[in-house]
Amino acid sequence: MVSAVLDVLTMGRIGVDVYPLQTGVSLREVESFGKYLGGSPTNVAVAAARYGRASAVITRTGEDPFGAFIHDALRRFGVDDRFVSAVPGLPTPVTFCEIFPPDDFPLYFYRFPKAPDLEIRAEELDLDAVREARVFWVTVTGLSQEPSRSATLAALAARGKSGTTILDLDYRPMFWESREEARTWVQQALEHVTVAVGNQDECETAVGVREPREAAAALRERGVELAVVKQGPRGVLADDGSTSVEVPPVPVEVVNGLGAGDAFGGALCHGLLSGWELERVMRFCNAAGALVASRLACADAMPEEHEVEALIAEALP
Amino acid sequence: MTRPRVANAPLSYGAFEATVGTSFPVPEAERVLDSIAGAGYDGTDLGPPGYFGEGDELRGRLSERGLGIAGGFVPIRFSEPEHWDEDVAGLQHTLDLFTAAGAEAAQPVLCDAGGPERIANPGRGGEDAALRLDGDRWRALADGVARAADIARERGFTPVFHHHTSSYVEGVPEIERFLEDTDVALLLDSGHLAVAGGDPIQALRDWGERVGAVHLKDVRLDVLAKVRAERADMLTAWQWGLFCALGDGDVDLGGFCATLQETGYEGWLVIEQDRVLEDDAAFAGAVAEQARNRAWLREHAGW
Repeated sequence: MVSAVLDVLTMGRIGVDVYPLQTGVSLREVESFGKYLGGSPTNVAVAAARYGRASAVITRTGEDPFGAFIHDALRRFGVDDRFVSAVPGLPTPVTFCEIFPPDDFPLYFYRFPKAPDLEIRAEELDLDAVREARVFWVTVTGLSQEPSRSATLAALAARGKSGTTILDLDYRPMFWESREEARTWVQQALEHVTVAVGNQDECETAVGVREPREAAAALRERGVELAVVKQGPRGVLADDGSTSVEVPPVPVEVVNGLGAGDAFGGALCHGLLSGWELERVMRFCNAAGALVASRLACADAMPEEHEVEALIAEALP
Repeated sequence: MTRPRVANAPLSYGAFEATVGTSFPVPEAERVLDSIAGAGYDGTDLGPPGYFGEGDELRGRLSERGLGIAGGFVPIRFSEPEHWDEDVAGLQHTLDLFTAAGAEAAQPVLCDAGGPERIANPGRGGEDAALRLDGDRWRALADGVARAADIARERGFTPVFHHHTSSYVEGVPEIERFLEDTDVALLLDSGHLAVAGGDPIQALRDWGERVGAVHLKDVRLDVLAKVRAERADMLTAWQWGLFCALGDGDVDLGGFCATLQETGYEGWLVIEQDRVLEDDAAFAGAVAEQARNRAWLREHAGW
């Protein structure tokens, strides 16, 4: 069967986010929760689908009701779920968080004994789909354990830097033995991608420097065409060798900062696919991230293009 | 549809006889096993005896990852009988490990260790008759192979013999003579044969019934030309990247796999890409390359 080419194909973490419906309350005290689709690369695919992009995610769930919920949710968001398979014997991961606006959102991952999404296997990949996707998105978390690590590296090698290949520097210490170990694998993956995106701490893991300009330069030295360094309240720096832009953040009242990075990622895919100038891409990403930060949920909160454009217009002096 | 079982080997990850126990960086055994299994291989070569552990530890490490043992490389200095006892002890150790791991079908891979003039002249055994063993030393080699094979067979294992760059069984004339003078099955290695000027597909057609194991390797002929022009030795040739990732070199591996299928080959297919790690971080590159090799085989041979 010949299928239509995907605009955005992401690979990696998926799960169910179980988030408190009250903010400013610890998990010890909270009484009601909402259930949401979660996992960073999954959210990126959802965000891209909101902009009308043909999106899919390569990942795995448990063989349980939460796994079924994930398929339902992906379809509801218009994300192709054909590359989502079940791993018998492992539960679908759940993630709890606490919501203390404006800047404290601790996460509690339940990915034991092992997350099914780390059981993505190289031999099960559809390498034609990987090669043909206009944007291919992988994450550092996908490199944290075998067989997901080899699957990610095999996919990157098969793609051979064609099209836009993005590495989300997404470094979460709890998934790694050490920062040094993560750095080894990140640097391997960097050789095969055209875009790297991460915050300053993640850049330090990747290339050993935090200062945004130095980090962008170090990422580019490793062969990345576009380096995007997120600086929190100081905005974002993007450098593609010919242009370097620094865009300030869009001020919003933060409800839940989780998911903002993924909204940024989905917007980055959309902006690059649209062929916009770098500065416009970055403004769009920032505004998309800000919108999700002003909302409780992650996947469910991903904005449509007109919402992002409205916020950009509002933020202009 | 059945496919051959596909294995890799610790030497692709920087762990082999010339690195384990030296100052070269060698990855931890469990990381190598995780990577081999993670890339989708069905098994592995044993590597330097003991590297993956001994006894129950070895068995456990393999079974928890669902990996089998394809074989174990056993270098023997067949033309230097004074080393016989020492080298046979290595063979016995490998067989002990197979037994302990419950790997009844694992193949001891006998290989001649060559000599200094061959190590200094990789790939020339097919063309330069002066490099070949004389009658007496050749007979010593053939006798030694028969004795080593008997030792393996007495313990229930089926040995194969690896023609190899810079060994005394390297060129096509040497391999053909070997097949005439012994009854041991041949391990056909597409890379080593190409380095010696042979045609791996023709070899399968000519020697198919005697082929008991297959190693899949690609070779860059431009590097080979440089090795020959500058008379580089074997390790230098390795370091220059004579053996490269599958599909990056000049061997018709697609045709080779198709011919394997035609001949109904049912044994192990072992992908090897000898690698000396420059530093610990280079391990990640090796993992990426072996994942890529496994994907290459799936795409180009359907295995």
